[in-house]
This record gives sequence, C-alpha cells and structure tokens, in this order.
Amino acid sequence: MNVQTVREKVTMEHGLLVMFLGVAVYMFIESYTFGERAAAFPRFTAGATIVGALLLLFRSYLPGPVQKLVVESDGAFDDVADEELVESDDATGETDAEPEPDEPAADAETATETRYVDLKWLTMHGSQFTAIISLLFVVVSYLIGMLWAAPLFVATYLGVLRRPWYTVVGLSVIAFLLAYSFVLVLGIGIDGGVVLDLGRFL
Amino acid sequence: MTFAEGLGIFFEAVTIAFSWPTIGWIVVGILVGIVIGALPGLGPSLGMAIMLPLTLPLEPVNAIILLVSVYSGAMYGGAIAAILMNAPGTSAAAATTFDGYPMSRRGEALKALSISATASSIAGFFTVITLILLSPVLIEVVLAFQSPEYFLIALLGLAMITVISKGSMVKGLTAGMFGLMITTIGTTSFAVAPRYTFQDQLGFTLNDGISFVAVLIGLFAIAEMFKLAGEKGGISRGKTIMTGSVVPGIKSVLSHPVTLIKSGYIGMLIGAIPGAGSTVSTFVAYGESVRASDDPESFGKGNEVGLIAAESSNNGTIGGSLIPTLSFGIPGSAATAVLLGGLIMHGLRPGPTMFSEQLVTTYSLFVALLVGNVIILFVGLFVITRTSIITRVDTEYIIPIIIVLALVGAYGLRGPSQTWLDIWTVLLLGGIGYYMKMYNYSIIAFVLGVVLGGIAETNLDRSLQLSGGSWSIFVDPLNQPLSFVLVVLIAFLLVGPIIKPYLTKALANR
Repeated sequence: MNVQTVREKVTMEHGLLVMFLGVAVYMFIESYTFGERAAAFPRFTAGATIVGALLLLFRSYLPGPVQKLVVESDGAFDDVADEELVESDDATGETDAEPEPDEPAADAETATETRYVDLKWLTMHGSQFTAIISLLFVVVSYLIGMLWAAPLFVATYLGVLRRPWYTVVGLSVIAFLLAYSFVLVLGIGIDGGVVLDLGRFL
Repeated sequence: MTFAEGLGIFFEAVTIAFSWPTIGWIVVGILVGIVIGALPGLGPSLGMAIMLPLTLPLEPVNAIILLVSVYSGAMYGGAIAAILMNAPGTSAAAATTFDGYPMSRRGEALKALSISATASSIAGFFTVITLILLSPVLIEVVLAFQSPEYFLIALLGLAMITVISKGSMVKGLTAGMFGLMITTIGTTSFAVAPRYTFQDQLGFTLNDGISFVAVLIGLFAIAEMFKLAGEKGGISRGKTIMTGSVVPGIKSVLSHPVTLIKSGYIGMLIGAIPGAGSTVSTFVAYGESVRASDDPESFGKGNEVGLIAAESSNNGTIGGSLIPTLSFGIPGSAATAVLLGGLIMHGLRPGPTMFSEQLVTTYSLFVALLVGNVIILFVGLFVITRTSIITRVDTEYIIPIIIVLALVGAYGLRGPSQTWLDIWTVLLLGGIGYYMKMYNYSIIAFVLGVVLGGIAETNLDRSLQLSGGSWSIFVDPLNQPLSFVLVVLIAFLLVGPIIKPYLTKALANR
C-alpha cells in the first residue's frame, strides 16, 4: 500500500477516532496518579473508549462475529420507518430520536444538495465557511466584546452570501438586540473586549 | 404516601402552574417552541439547548416548565411546514407530510392544520393524564432502585440507545463512553480529588470540569448549524395557499377516536423506550393506521386518518419520553436529554426525589404540559392558520442568528473565570458533533454520557463503598437481584446481535 492509497483511505472519521483514542489513553494513564476512589470511573470509561476506538479503527481486520458489532446495522424499528420514508421526498436533518442514516454523510448528501460559498477567489464548503467565520466571531468577541461582534458576524456572514442589504441590516440589528437581551437577563459583561471597551456607550 | 396526600400535592402543582409568572412561561415556551419547530431544520432539542442559559435566573420549577413547553410546542410546530410545504420542521413530522401535504395541495390546508392541532393537543392531553395516573406506580418502581441499580440503569440506557438506533453499536457505545469520560474532568464530589485539571499547563484550572450545558449547546445548536450550512434545500420554495376550513378538521379528529387513542398510546409507549423517540413512533402509528384501514390505498394521497395517526403519536411521545427521564435519568430522545440537562443544571436530580421531595415540581411539569396542549389547540386553530410565513424563512438567515444565540448563551453559563472555556467548549463540541453526525456516531449516546456522568460516577462510588470495593455487587443474584437482572439485560443487548444469526440458524435447522 503506497502513501497515496493510504491518504485516499484516511477520512475525518479516522481523525475523530484518533482523537477519542488519544484523549482516552491520556486519561487512562493519568488516572493512576489519582486515589483509588477517584480513579475507578475515569479508568473504566477511558478503558471502554480505548477498546471501542480500537475496534472501530481496525474494523476491517476483525473476525466475523465481532465485526457484526462494529458494522452499521438497521435499528430495531427501521423496517417500519424505511418503508414509509420511501414515500417522503423532503425530510430534513433535524432528528428528535437521532435515527442515524446507514451511510456516512458523503453518501447521505445525495439526498440533499451540498451548499458551497463563493468567496470570489475561493469556493468553500458551506460548513467549512460557517466554522471558520464562527471561530473569527469568537476571536473578535474576545477583542471588542460579543455584543458588538454579534452584529458584525451576522452582517459579514450574510454579506458574503450576497443577501439583500435590508436583510443584512435587519438581521444585524436583531443579533445586537438578542445579545443585548442576554445582557439584561443574565447580566453578563459582553460589552467590552481586551482591545476595545464600548460598554460606556450603552 | 396516601391518596389524599398525593391529591393535595397535585392541587398544589395546579396552583403553581396557574400562578404568575409560571403561566406566562408556559405561553412563552409553547410559542417559542412552535416557531422553532416550524422553522426548517430546527427542532425541539436545538430550541431547548439555546434556551438553557436563559433559564438560569428562573426558579427551577419555572425553568423546567419553560423547557418542557418549548419541547411540546416544537413537537407540534414541526407539523406546520410538513403540511404546508412538504418540508417537515423536524424528522418527527416526516410522517405528517404523507397525508398532510396532499391535503394542502387539494385545497384543504386549513383543515389539515386544524387536524394537526386538534390531534396533537388531544393526544398530548390524555397521554399526560395517563402519566399522572401512572405516577403512583412509577414511584414504587423507582424506590426499588438503589445506587448499584442506578449505575447499571445508566449503562442500560446507553446500551438500549445504541441497539435501537440505526448504525454501529460499537460507535454508539464508544460515543457514550467518551461522553461519560469527559465528565470525569474536574474535582470529584466524593473524594475532593482534582483530576485532569491541567493546573500547570493552562492559565486556569479545570477544577469545575467541562460544563455539560456548553456540551449540549455545542452538539445541538452549533453542530446542527454547521451541518445545515453545508446543505441546500432548507428553503421552502412552494407557495402556500391557505384554503379550506378549520371546523371540519376538528370534526374529523373527533370522529376517529380509535385512531386518536391508539396512536397517542403508541407514541407514549415508544417514547418511553430510550433512543426510539417520536420519529419512530409516528411511523409505527402511521403504519398501524394503514394496516387497520379498509382503504389502505388512499394513504399517502391525503387520507385524514393518516394525518391524525402521525400527529397524535407525535405529541403522545412527549408523555412517554418523560417516564424514563424523570424516573431514572434516561432520556427517551434528544430533546429529553436536553431537558435532563436542564433538570440537573437547576439542582433537580432525576430518580426517587422527583417522586418524593420534588413531587410537586414533577406534577407542575405535567400540569404545564396539560395547559400547553390547550394553548397548542388555541394557537393551532386561530393563529397558525394565518401565519404560514414562518415556514418560508431561509436557513441562511437562521444559521448566524442561532450561532449568536448559542455563543452568547454560553458566555453566561458560569462565572467569569470559566467564560472562555465554555465558549471554546461550545465551538469545539460543535465541530466534534458535526463529524459525529457525518459518520453516524450517536449524538444521543454521547449526550447521555455527558449528562449522566456525574450521577453514574456517584452511584458507582457508593456501590463500591457498599461492597468494600468489590465489583461483584453488580452480579450478586441473591443479595442484589435487580442489579443482576440489569446486568443480564445489558449483556443480552450487547451480545444479542452476535448470537442472533446463530440462534436463527439453529432454530431453522430444527
């Protein structure tokens, strides 16, 4: 197996499992520095997470009966649901009971079209764009305060998506008012950041 | 407790539910829930998660009533877009589209909406009444459980969720165990021992651990928005024509009492099974109404009975899902997992106390649901029939607003020293939750682990203290028969899928 084949086979799921495994191994080892009572539960849960993550990482090499536990299977009630779902064209993603799709979202996305964001010089997956801009929102909030960063975030988000100016302005104002309602209800200090403190203007 | 005492507590709960501001929170919760449920892509769990921080200044009973009202309202709200746009606000409303949308297309939108409101509220009402009547029995059952059983019931809940939900069992269990594991960060309540606090590495310590409310917000609000941002199709493009009449819809529901009652109880029964939830119950109830019908061919083409079945089971699920949540701390669905988080956040522990010292809170919750169903009926018949515009809101407008609500809400969860930790937790868990959804890792199992971690650990510690450190306390059929039965059940659930093909083969060969 060459490097390119390995790279093609490695997905974000492997990243997720390695993260589970890494955290669990650290917590398992670290538990030996605690007293016996404090160590029992973290050791039990970290041990179980390690076993689960290893089984999933090496699922292709498992013997038949054990593999049954690892591979995707139908839920207990899925016969009924699947029959009826065939008739439904347009189910959304939100689930109350989290009935999981059989295949990873890469396949599931055939049902719903993928959204891309065109940044003129770069086209980005909608989820990726939202994650990055949310991260920037947190950083800017740290600098100038979340109360002021919230409308900026909404305006930037909708501006990049080229929404009409009146919706950009309207929703930015709504975002500010919502953030301000949290200040009133919870009394949180989000009106100033480490660089700029605009709280005195309120 | 005598019958008279129980009745006295019930009337006290009625007084609380109708007092100010509690009644106001019920109305607010139902209205917010209906709007959230009706918006494409949003649902009860997300609505409740972003409301959690706002409940902090409220009295525990008002906070829980507000949350449960959002839950109830959102369960109904999901049907509005399903009927008008063929785009269910929640997956639980997917079965509603089968007959609700064809009714709209043939000019009976108002009738379909009134069927939905009437069936939802009546089924919600009688299933909650049943729950109140069942509560004395539940109290007896709950009191039979001690620390070893409570630890095992948490594991049983995880095992059931992973078996009942579609997908890999090991993925579900790993997600659940990872959730349990991260609750061990911070100081233990019983041994005052700091664990994984990174005192020397970080500029602050993790003595108070990771906030499970931040985890809930990350998983249900941020992860959902990341997912929604990558999908087209959140915009309902159809044009709604609000024609028809409300009264025939009410008459239609009342003329099908068997479907209404049967579907409501199917919802309640399935709702009580951890992991099954309303998506499953609506399909089962719908399937049963097709099976029992003399005219099964007409289903999917605007048959009112199909709509009644889907909608009554949908709201019937609420009462059922509260049974394991309040009794054992095992949520029946994602929404009840958030509700459980709300209970714990406000210092209410699921289990015996909810049926003894906190019985008045529990009954207040039930009465609030009853009142909520009356509000749903009123709003459904007289308001929703005139405000279909909420179903046409573009998801591109919803996403940034929800992200703002989620992150600002996280800011206020704990004291100033934990603020940025909670915000980064929300964002990080949003990312992890997004990939978990993408690769079919059970979010409910993960949440269950996070919410139940503290309770499970305390009960494990107590059990081990009782047994002098011996794990045999869980498998002692003579002294701990209930624990033994639970261990056998867990083993059966986990090993069942392996031995099932061999058993089937052996039976076929006989």
